[in-house]
Formats: sequence, C-alpha cells, structure tokens
Amino acid sequence: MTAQNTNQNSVLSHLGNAAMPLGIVIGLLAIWEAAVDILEIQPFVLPAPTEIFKELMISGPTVILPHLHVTMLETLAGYFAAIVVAAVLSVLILYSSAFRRGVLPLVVASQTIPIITMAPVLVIWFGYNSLPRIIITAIVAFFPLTIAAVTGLKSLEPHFIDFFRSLNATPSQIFFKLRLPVALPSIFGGLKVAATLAVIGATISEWVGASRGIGYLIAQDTALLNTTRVFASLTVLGIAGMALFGLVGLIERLSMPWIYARPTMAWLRTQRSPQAPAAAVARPRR
Amino acid sequence: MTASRKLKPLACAALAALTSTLALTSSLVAAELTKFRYALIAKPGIWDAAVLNGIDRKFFADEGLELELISPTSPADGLKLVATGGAELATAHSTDVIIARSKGLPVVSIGTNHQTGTTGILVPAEAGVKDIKQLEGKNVGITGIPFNKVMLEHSLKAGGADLGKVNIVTVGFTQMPLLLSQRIDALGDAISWDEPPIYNVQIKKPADDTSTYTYFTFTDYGVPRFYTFGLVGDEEALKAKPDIYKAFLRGWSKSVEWMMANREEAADGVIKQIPSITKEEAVVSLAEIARISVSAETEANGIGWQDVAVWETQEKFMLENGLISSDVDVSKAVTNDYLK
Repeated sequence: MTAQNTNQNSVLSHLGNAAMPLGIVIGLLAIWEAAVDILEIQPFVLPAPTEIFKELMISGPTVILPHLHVTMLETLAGYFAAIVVAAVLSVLILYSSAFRRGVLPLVVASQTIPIITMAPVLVIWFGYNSLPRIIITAIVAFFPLTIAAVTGLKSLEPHFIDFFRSLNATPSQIFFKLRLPVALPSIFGGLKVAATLAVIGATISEWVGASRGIGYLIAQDTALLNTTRVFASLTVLGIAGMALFGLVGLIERLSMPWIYARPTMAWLRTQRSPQAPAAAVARPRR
Repeated sequence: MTASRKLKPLACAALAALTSTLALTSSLVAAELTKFRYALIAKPGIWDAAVLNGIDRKFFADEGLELELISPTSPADGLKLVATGGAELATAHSTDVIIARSKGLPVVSIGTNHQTGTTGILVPAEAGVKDIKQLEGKNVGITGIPFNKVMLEHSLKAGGADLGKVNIVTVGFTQMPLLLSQRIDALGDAISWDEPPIYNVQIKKPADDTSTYTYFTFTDYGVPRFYTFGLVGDEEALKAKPDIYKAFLRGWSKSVEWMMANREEAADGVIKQIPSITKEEAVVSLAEIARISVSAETEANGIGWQDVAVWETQEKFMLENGLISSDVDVSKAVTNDYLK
C-alpha cells in the first residue's frame, strides 16, 4: 500500500514537472497568437502560431521533413567529426604544454571568424558536396566540446593521481579509470552545447553551396516571402535540436549512473563498480 | 602686445559668431530637406550608380530630399521594410514585387532602372559551348534565386537540352570564384552587365572583351521580357505623400540621364563609395546598364516607364512555373503616375 502511494506520488511529481514547461509554452503561444490578432501583424512579418501549425500539417511531411533529413545527416556527421577532433585536441592539450601554448590560441581564434565567411572558401576547396557543410558543422561544434573536455580532464586534484600511482596504475589506467570518469560531467556539458551548435552550423552551411536541407529551404522561402513556412521549418529544426540534446542527455544519464541513479542504488553500484574510486571522486558535492 | 591682447577676445567673439551663423545656416538648409529612406537591393554595387551619383551630385537634394540608404540582406527584406513603413522606397525586381503582391504585401513599382532583365548563362569560351544543348554533362552554378532557376530550366529545355543531364548546383553568391577555380563550368544566372566584365578582369583580359565567354540570354529562349531593379513603394504611402515620390523620381531620372551621358565620371562616383570595384569593370558595366535603361517606351515616355502588358506576361510565366500559386492583379503592382 505504501509502495503504491509512493509510485502514485512519483507519477504525480513527474506530471507536475512536465506540466510546468508545457504550461509556459502554451501561455507564450497564446500571447503570441493574441498579439498577432490584436496588433493585426501581417503574416510576412510574423505569422500566428496557428498558421505555422497549419503550414506544418501541409508542408511538414512532404517538403520540410525531406530537407530536415539532409540537415540532420550533416549535423550528425559534423557532430561526430567535432567529437573526434575535440577528443584528440583535448588529450594533446592536456599532456603537452607546448601544444597547449601553440594550438589553444589558434583554436580560440578559429571561433572569432564568422563561419559563414568560410563557407564559400570551403566550397571552392572541397566542391559542392556535403563535405564543406560537415566541416562547417564540425568547426562550429568542436570548440565548446574541446574547452569542456580540457576543463574536465584538468579538474582532477593531484593527490588522486598520487593515490593511483601508489597503486602502480599505468598512465592509461589513470586516464581511463580516473581522469575520464571525473571529466565526464564536464564533457557531457560540452557535448550538449555542441549538439545544439551542430544543428545551427549545418543549417547556416546550407546557405552556400547546397541544393537541399533546411537551411536551403529557409533561404528559398525567404526569397519567396514564404515567412510562415520559414517559421514552420524553424519549428521543426528546433524540435530536432531538442531531440538531439535530449539524446545526449539520455546517454549522459546512462553513462554516469553514480551521479544519476537513485541514491540507494547508486551506493550499491558504487560498491560493485570496478570504477569505484573514480566514481567516488567524481561524485559532485551536494 | 597690449593691442594684441585686446584684439584676442574680439577675434574669438567674431569666430564664435561666424561658427554659429554657419551652423544655423546649415541647419536651416538641412531642415528644408525631407528625409527619404531608400532600401537598396542588397549591399551597394554598380547597379546603384544612379542613386549614389544622384546623392553625390545633389540631384535629390535639389528636389528637397535627403536620402538615407538602407542595405537589406535580401530583396524580400527591402519590400518588407517598405510594406511596414520602414522605408519609403526599395529597389526590387518585378518578380519579387509579383511574389510580394501574391503574399499580400501592398507594394507598387513606380519606375524601373532596367527596361529588360538580361540574366543568362555565362560559359568560358574555352569550354567550347556554342549551343545551350552542349551544357549537358556540365556543372552549372546558380545563386539559388528561385526565379532565376525557373528561367534557367526553361531556357535549357527550350534550347533542347535534357534537364536531367545538366548538373544545376546552387552555389549562392560565390559563383565567380567557383567558375575561376573550375568547380563549375558555367554561371547559370549571370547578368550581362555584371559577371562578364568581372570575369574578364579576373582572367586579366580587357573588361569589354566578349570573345572570352559565350553568353545565352534567357529572353532569347522564350523567357518573357521582365523589368529589373524597380523602384517600389507602399500603396498607402504613395497615396499619402505623392509629392515626395514624384520628387524622388525627378531626381533619379536626372541622375540616370546624367549617368548615361557621363559614364566615366559616374564610374568614379561609384568607386568613391565602393573602392573594390575597378574603373575598367565599372565603365563596361555602366555601358551595358545604359543600354538596357532605355527602350522604345522610355523614348516616348521618359526614363523608368513600365508597360503593364510586360508585367502581365511575366505574371503568367511565373504562374505557369509555380512561382506563384494564384493569379496576381499586376495592374495594382505597377504605375507610371509618379513619373509624370
């Protein structure tokens, strides 16, 4: 009976958690709809949410989704490329002070360049295929990931390393069993930021040298004053970005049970886990 | 020494009085001018020679207008600005005006810079393409402007090319570097007064050398004549302040006529504002612009004149090719009333 009550409370709590953001979104959409109606705002300036919804129903399956498919493939390809680049760079920055001094300023400088200006150059170098767009996506996404990874990997206090060394741990054991688990929360923070940036990168990359993709569709619709479909495309893109963000969040939860599991279970897992020392170190202060 | 000391305050007072008088006079002169916000089609270019020189040579000031130039990110933005009261006038192609009218924007073209659009395909001579059909198997780069793609495909079909065999790629406004680096074989939506001289300058040939490329103008392949670089205002604003629009058109007409008669000086006027343009390129561009700024209609009615029948044919073409989904009453989209 008590267990049943606990379950009911838990369900209600979850519903309450979901209701709040949903209520805010519905409220904002209602204000938007009313503002467009009362202020008589023309659709080419700002379409009403109901009009965008109608457009989604009409163009969504036949026009927007095929373009979204292209954009998401480029997003994922660029995102994974960014992960690989960030992984290599962060390890090199961590272990080589010369590399850090030489390359980190260049990495920072790369982010001060408006990426859209690079797009035509990349198209000239690599042609009008997906590669320039994947590179642009990776350039946009790798920076927060690299910085987050370096910050996470460097956050370990030296006495934990000393402790591992006292147990005759090899450098690779120190990295994989101590540094990496400790850095994971920071790395996942970077991965989540990079996921949203990758979607932006892929979309803007399609403004130059693309014949398909949401960015291309938005550019075409802008020229044709099809503002309602521009908003419909942006809505779909936003949902796709949120889905990617959510997926990374899910992987984060599954990857760090010592942080996200229930306290009683976490204690049990900590006892059983071969990464117990690292998990203990990584436990955030509460 | 003493006299000098006595004169010093007097000199200062005289200087202050002179400065105040000058400031007052200039503010009075400025107050006489009416602010007129003019949205260019995008960033300023050689196509804005009439407006840029008109400001410089005070053709607009003589009509009581002080132009404030706005550079929107796209032609559609200029029309939105006009329709929402953000600008008095915008430069826009007749295509964009028809699309805007189909979306409910109450915009009206009151004059046009070019009596006919000369958009077409530019192929470097060494490609050996003498016939549009020979573009099969080639990579043709286009900016992505929807109307241009429609015209290109129409022309290719009319020229007997199999569309499936022509690789049309959207490359944005990076066509020229892609052509020069041989990433594409042809420019699919070049303009006769823009890309040819630029191409020649880039390959170190005289800007007016026509032997370096082959040019297929879309209107030679069944695309109806259309007006480009029109002057577009808002329906209500035009009715409310007809005088300022008439004043603008008077200043603009004078400037266009001056530009056609003084191309070298007009080129200098543009280069002063946009130093990246070379003189050679600008002069050749302006010669071609001067050619298409006049027609039989302008000879009879004056610079900027537009024939509604031309708009009607274009509207029909756009409807047939899916650029608009329903009929647009173009008689409301164009007027010559303000040119009179």
